[in-house]
Amino acid sequence: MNKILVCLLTVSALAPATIFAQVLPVSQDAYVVPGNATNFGAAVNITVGNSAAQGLVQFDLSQLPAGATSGAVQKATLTLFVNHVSAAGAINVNVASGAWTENGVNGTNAPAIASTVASKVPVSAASQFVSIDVTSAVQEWVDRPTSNNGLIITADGSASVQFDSKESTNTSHPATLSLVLATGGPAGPAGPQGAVGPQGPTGPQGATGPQGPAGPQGPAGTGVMAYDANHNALGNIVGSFSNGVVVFRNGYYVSVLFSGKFPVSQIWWSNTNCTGTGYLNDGNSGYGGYVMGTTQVIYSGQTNSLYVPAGAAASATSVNGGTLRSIENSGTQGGPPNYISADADGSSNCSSSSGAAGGWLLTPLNAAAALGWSVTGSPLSVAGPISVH
Amino acid sequence: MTVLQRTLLSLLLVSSAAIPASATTLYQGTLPDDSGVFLQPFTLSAAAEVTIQSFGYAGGTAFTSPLPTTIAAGGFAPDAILFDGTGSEIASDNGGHCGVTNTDPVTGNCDDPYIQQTLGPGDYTLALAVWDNVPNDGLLADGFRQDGNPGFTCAEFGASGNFCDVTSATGAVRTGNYAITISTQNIGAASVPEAPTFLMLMIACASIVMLARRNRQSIA
Repeated sequence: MNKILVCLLTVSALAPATIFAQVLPVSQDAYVVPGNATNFGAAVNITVGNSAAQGLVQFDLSQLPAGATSGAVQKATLTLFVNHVSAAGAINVNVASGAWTENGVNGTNAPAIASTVASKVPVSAASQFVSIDVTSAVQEWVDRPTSNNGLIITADGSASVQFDSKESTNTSHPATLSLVLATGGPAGPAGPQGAVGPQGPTGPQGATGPQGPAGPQGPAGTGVMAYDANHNALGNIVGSFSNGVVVFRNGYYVSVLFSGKFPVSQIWWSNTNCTGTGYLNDGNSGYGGYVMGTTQVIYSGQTNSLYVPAGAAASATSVNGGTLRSIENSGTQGGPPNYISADADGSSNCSSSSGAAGGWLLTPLNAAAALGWSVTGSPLSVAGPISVH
Repeated sequence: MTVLQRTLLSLLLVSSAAIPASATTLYQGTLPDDSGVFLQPFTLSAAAEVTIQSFGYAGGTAFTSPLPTTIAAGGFAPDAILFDGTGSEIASDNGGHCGVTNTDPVTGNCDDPYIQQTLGPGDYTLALAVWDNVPNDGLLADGFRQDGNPGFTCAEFGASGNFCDVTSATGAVRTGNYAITISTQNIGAASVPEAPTFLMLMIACASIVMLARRNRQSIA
């Protein structure tokens, strides 16, 4: 007897204070046909499946007892009455993602289908009720009333069924939401604070950080390198002028025509066989007074070397070079100034001559220095021909 | 065993043999509007498995005798209601039997009713109405909910006219055509009123009378 009494006392102590059921009538119902702008809010049926129709139902949870929490909702059941089955099958129930109104919703503005509440609920015959557990959705709505946009009912596969809407007058079985609620008496006083708990686990890895700053500018490209006849690197080409002057990175300043040949020139040599000191003929039977119009690099086919006129400045005048011993003609000469011609063909010959060697003193190419460029490379003189690769 | 007893036994045997194992009767027509109801009374003289199948909505082939009958789709979505001899509803169906009945090529619905049920001997009435025109209180005598309210199907979609398909989402317009068969599979004895059956009954009755008179005369 004592054991029975203890058992009864235990059960009564564990039992919640109050459990009761509440049935809410549907507050809004309709169906929509995707892409169809017609509103079917006043229809007597909630058609699902035919023409891909989707049913919509919503319940007003403000009728729940004041202060009800999601924890109080022990069970929530959606009940629909099947009044017609055109094709037996199953239905799915999802949460509606947005607000809608019974008289305004249609297939072009209906809320999207959100999280699944129930799937593949069989609907096989008419004139019967279908009950669906929607507890999780209702609990969410109780916690966040603004999220209560109702439920969307869709066909799973080829099902085509109809449920009574609240406008139905034949069988008058509109959708209902049956709730099992647990409520207790007033909350007791707060208990004492508990002991400090153990340290929590390591937190999750942080989010990926923002993109870093741009890196430093990379080194200059190597470009195309030029080499003289002795395979000395002249540097890569960094610029050129329309007259055929090409500037190399190492400071060399070499004149080449676009054809790859040097300008026509006539060099007077102080010794026979085109040796000794060379002078670029000023084109006049004398010397002085003539100003070099354009600085050029001259190619001597006899010495197979490059030269620049002394001073190498555009304002340099021709000088007396002394006794002329031989003359070299490079390329085919044209009219004055005959050492600069577009007809240059790179040919060269040397012939004996005599007289005064008037012109500009030629020095082996150190054009950069002569023109005020700093020479950073070697050799200081360039032996032709120049190759580029 | 008397001569009368032998004669009565003979009559039962003759009656059972005379009733075909399967009889199918097709009823076709057109309702004037969607509030109309087609009523077909019939009588079973003995228990039978009765199959009622509609073909008017999605069409199909009714296995009538001597040749099957092909029925076109396009009729209204019907509701078939079976009443007993007192006029009380004993069964109803509004379709949903894909595979047993045809699927409509336009709506994709299988809305032809199909009822298969064993019924005892007695009088019955089959009613065929446009869904969802249902009988009031389940009693034939109380009429149907949409009596005198033609156009109710289209009105449900805010439109005028008749025979809008309430089973479709958009109220597709159908015709007033219907086609429905009543088939019986005898369970010892069954009968929808048929001329051969009546004829055999008349012959049997006449034979009984004649044999009884002869018997009486021979005794005398």
